[in-house]
Amino acid sequence: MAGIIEEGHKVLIRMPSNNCKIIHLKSANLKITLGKFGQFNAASLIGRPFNAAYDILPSGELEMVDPTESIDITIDAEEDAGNNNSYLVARTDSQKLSKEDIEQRKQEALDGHLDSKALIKDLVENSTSFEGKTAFAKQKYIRRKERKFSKKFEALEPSARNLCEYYFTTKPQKTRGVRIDTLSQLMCLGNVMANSNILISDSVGGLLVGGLLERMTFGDMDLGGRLFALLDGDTSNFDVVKDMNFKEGVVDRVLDTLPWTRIDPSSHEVEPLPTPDSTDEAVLLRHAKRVESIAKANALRAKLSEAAFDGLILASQFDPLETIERLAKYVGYSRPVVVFSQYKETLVPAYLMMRASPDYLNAQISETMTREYQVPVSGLGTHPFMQASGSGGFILTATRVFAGDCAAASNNTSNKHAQPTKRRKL
Amino acid sequence: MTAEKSLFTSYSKTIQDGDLVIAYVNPLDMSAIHVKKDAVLNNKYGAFLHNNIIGKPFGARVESVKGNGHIAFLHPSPELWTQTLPHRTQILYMPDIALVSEMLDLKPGAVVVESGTGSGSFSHSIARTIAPVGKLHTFEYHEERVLKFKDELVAHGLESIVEVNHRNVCSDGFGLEDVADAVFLDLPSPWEAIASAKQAFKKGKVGRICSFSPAIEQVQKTCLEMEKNGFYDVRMFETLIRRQDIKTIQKRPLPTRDVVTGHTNNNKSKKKPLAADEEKEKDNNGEEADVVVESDQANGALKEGQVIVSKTVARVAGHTSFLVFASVFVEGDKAVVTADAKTVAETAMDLEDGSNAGDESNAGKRKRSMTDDGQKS
Ligand SMILES: C[S@@+](CC[C@H](N)C(=O)[O-])C[C@H]1O[C@@H](n2cnc3c(N)ncnc32)[C@H](O)[C@@H]1O
Repeated sequence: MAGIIEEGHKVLIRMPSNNCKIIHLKSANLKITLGKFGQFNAASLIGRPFNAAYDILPSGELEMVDPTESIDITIDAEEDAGNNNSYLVARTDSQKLSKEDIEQRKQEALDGHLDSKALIKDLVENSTSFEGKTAFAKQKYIRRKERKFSKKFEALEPSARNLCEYYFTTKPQKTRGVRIDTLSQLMCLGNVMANSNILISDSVGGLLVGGLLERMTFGDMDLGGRLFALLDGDTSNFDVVKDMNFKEGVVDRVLDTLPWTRIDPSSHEVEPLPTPDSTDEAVLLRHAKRVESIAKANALRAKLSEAAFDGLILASQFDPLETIERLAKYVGYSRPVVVFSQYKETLVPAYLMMRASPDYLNAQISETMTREYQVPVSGLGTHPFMQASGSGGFILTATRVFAGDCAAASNNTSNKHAQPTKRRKL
Repeated sequence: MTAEKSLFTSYSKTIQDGDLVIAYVNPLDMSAIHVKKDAVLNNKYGAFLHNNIIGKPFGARVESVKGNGHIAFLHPSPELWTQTLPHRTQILYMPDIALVSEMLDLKPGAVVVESGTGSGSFSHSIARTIAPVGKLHTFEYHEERVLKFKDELVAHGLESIVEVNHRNVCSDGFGLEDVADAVFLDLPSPWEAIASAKQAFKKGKVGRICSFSPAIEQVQKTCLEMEKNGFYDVRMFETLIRRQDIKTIQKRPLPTRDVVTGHTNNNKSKKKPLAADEEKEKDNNGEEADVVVESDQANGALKEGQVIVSKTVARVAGHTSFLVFASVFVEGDKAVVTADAKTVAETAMDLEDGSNAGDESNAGKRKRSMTDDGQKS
């Protein structure tokens, strides 16, 4: 459900070269510069749909275009079938336009005096080898020129999906290699509902928080869902969320954060602070601030109560076993525990603990193989292909259960009934 | 927000009379049952009185009458429903469901069009993800499947979110205009539904479509039809989940020779392999199986010569289906509207005559064939 671009929104721009960048439409009066692809007026993107393609006109206005449409040069596959590359000479010789001519036209296009489509058409018409190319090679030639000279770009919505792919292909270390299929499974396996109350830890740049927020919000309506994130450091580092266009106040309402180190109160947080023996306003102000911050932390701690959460979802840099042992008690019964890791090995100790414990059911570790294929049609598929070989990471899942009266007897019976690893044939 | 309570769209802590619960024995032995006062669940682990289940927290392990076994009663979720639902057709499973949901940007408030409904596996997941303000219009031309699914919707409290339509979408279209954010097609000939699907999309916005087909010929026709109708950003994926098999085994030292007798000592573990692994042993082309040991795994203590190993479990079905995704923009003259929050009518749940889903078991994943319209053999 891609939305409409509004003033104040972030937009993920995909340029003809396939490079992406995030721009901020702070105000409608801005001119947005896309490097050598030229610049456009922010106002002309506002009110337009996300996930569509636009062409920069010489005036700096934008025209919505069909992203699949190529330059208007007819290529007849049948007629070209007899062509082959065998009599092509070195490519540099085949362009009739001089380097200087091309440079000049490029500058004209950049200044907005020449349509980039006209420029590409010029290049094609002055290429002596173009006619002799096969249909496929012709298309490739045009595509290459377009990547170089076209001013067509896509204005993508900075959704968890688009940002996940953006980071996975450009800076995978930022999101710890979470691939879109893995992210999607965290949502499903975590049974994320709009009104869930979920405990999380996100060391993936806020991608997990962002993905969850998307599944738990609708405009600025309160759907009841809440997230409680334990922070790696003293402050949150959820950059991905900042790039997503949540309505004002929504993130603050849904998301609570508490640093890992503050789960247990320090001694001065338990006992009330003595009122300073001073009339100095600065001292009193500082005191009031400390009292407030302690009260806030205590209120947050109160939310971290036994079996309070509808799930635990981790994409954390910390050890899964230690993390789970610390947090499991806050997870309700029959609620999922879902843990992402780039490395299977870090999940194994947690898995073994869960297998042996009567408090968990159905612990499993899985990996997903997702492959992208070239689509069997022409003119489409300008996307970089998702890495077929690389790993999208591993997921450990289990369900927390109430061992209750069966806890004592569970070790033999649970192995017999609930955990028939030996009989599994998957 | 809806006042109606569905266990598929909100969590509940305690099992109540009439609730749908998942009786969990092991990953391959789960069933969905409706809890009913004075009823009894009988299975090979004994008899379980529903009265002993009512009032317990979801996720409780409950003892059988004779105390010779216990099973856990879990809160339903679309993922568990997929594993326990009565199969009327072939169905979508979690890895595909997850990827499709994400790639179609499903979230609360989304309006989704789906065909065919089949066994409603994906429909339940869609409902969970778009609730409480979204809407699913699902289309199925097989009348009995429509009726069965209608019953399920009532029993599961989902009627306010899901609307089932009895219709042949290939010959008669969806009959919808300007409503959908996303369309999902799981049909034998999806290309016949593309043009009508386009009509269904909200105007003035970019919508998303996905077609799920097992055969490349279907994909080809569908892609061409998409291209003809102005769909763009066409991408195709295939996704497979690989479970990891993790165990502790005994390391095998090199063979040694007895200096006195001259006999070779194979240094076989004295321990007999666990019964369940004997079968595996035979499968191994005469090679001796690794000795799996039950270590004191809770504290990770490994005994001398033991090692924890993992391997990817080989899956029989190497390929499920191709997922083709695309975007589409339908021009519209009307002003941009943000989907308005629907006030959903209050509907009482009638759980008493719910379906006896618990009797059916998961028939497992089978390979789809191109012409199969999903009928269970
Ligand atoms: C494989 S099943 C769908 C399974 C479903 N996705 C699920 O997860 O349970 C395909 C369904 O499409 C239905 N179908 C086939 N052609 C149809 C048509 N033209 N109009 C409506 N439904 C159709 C079949 O009856 C069948 O139930």
